[in-house]
Amino acid sequence: MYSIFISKLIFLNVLRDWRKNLIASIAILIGTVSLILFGGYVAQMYEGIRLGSIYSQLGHYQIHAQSKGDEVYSKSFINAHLAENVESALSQLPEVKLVTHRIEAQGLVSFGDKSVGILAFGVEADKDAEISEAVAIVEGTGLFAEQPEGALIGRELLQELGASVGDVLTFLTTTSDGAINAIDIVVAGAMDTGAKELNKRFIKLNLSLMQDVLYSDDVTNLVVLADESKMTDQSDARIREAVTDISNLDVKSWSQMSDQYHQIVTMFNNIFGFVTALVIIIIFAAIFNTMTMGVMERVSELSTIRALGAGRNEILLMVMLEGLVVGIAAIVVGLLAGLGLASLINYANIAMPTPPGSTFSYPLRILLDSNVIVMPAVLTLFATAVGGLFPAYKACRLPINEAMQR
Amino acid sequence: MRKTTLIALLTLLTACSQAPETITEFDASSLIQGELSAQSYVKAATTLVDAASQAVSSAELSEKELNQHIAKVEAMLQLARDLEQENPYRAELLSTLGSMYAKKSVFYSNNAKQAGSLAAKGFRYLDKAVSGYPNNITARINRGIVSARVPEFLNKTNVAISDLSFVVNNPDFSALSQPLQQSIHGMLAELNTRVKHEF
Repeated sequence: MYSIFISKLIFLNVLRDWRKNLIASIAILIGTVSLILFGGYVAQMYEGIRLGSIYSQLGHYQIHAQSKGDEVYSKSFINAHLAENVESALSQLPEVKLVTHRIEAQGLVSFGDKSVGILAFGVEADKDAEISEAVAIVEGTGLFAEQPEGALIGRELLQELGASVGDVLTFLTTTSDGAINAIDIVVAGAMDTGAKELNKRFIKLNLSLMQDVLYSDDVTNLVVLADESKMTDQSDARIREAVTDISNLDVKSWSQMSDQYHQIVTMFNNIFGFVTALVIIIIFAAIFNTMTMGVMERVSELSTIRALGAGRNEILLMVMLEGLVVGIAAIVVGLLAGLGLASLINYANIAMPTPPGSTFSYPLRILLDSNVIVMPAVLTLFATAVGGLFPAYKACRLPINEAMQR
Repeated sequence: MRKTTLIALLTLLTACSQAPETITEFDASSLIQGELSAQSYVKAATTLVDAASQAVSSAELSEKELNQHIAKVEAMLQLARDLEQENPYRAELLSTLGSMYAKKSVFYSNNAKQAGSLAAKGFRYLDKAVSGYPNNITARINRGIVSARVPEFLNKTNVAISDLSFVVNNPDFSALSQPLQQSIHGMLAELNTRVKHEF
């Protein structure tokens, strides 16, 4: 009964000072919405870069010969028979969607009197298309095994060569024995990987054609695409074990191969941390100011309650709970407003400018996962609680006699 | 208060990502009337492609209906593969399948990964049709229209212009229905304006 009375008192006090509390609530609400939107934007960016890395060329895992060390591109070959065995072992795992063979080689591509040094991938066309979902075909068609001489050329490289779809280029490279060999390739299409520098030096051929020019059935790496819906905490270990149980090949995850992702994440975590700290300080100041003013204006009233027998802890709790009620109400409204605004932004399909070094513009999207929603709520609640602590402490320490004389 | 709760709930629901609806298998032989021959196959495939094209252009198409059309076209392509026959209607079937997968991505506007994956799958089929049958007008129309309609950040403007220009300059263009001809001219004009604005 007593707690109901106290609760009623708290709510009445909150409603009585509604103007001041509304101002504090607006600060908390704006803070919560800002954290949701910015957090959601950053989370979406991380997810976009992660998916972009996986679905442009990396896949979830790559398997290389160990002799290549830490370099991404290697001339170390995996024996064709071993590659088949590893593929078969990996394909039995439920989380593995596909395993594809790839040859990564360097060489020269010539058209007319122009020659350009390039990086060439020999790929299994259909499987590679699934791993390269983030690579846009901007002219012509994709790569298909039915047209073995076809090649996908980086958009900027095609422009540099002055060639177009259907033209025949000459690809020159070193064979697995170190000799020089050349073949004719037909431009099937132009691709945009999203990175301008890569577009200037990148081609893809059918694996069979690459093996022909290298005089070898071996591959330089196996690329694994996982079914993320079936990935568990044990998946990483299982995939690595499946390879290391039958070979001494090196397994690297996309995360180990994508330094750029980690650099971007570190940079944005710092920015987000700074912005979060600013927002928390604003919320803290708003609650602190509102509650201190409230306590100052209610000295006589609080002293009377004390004189009527309420303990210091009860006053401390009551004032703190008043602050928390305002905070929680503002956070709930802030969460709903944040979710609504985020959905609106996602629906609006706002195009963002092309980032430096990239060739893709991208739509502004706010990712709404549990972290993005829970983290701002917890942080603002914490700021509200801490902001109300000092005024509440001050209220409970008021000397009854002095205070009642005011 | 109830209204607010309902709106909040709906907002939350729309924010959640959807799981893709599965496509159930379909027995293509049930679509063939009489003995299976090249003629009866093409007849059934033509009916199927016409129905699918109409469905794709309908604004009231549900994902379930779309999945049914996809299952039928996939089954038709599989039937030709099983019989190891040269498929005389492969370009039309492949490109229609590509259009349908691209259309399916519209149902996943709140799940960018799923939408992107479906669009990529759609373009793979469309590219396969054009790559295998570069002079097939239906394949070019399908890829051109899908390329023109997808968001600009997918970088398909040049592909759309190339395909629709091919269609307009094709002798068979005049045999197409008037509304389709007008629609293609309209899209080409819009695409050219888009390209001019980019520069």
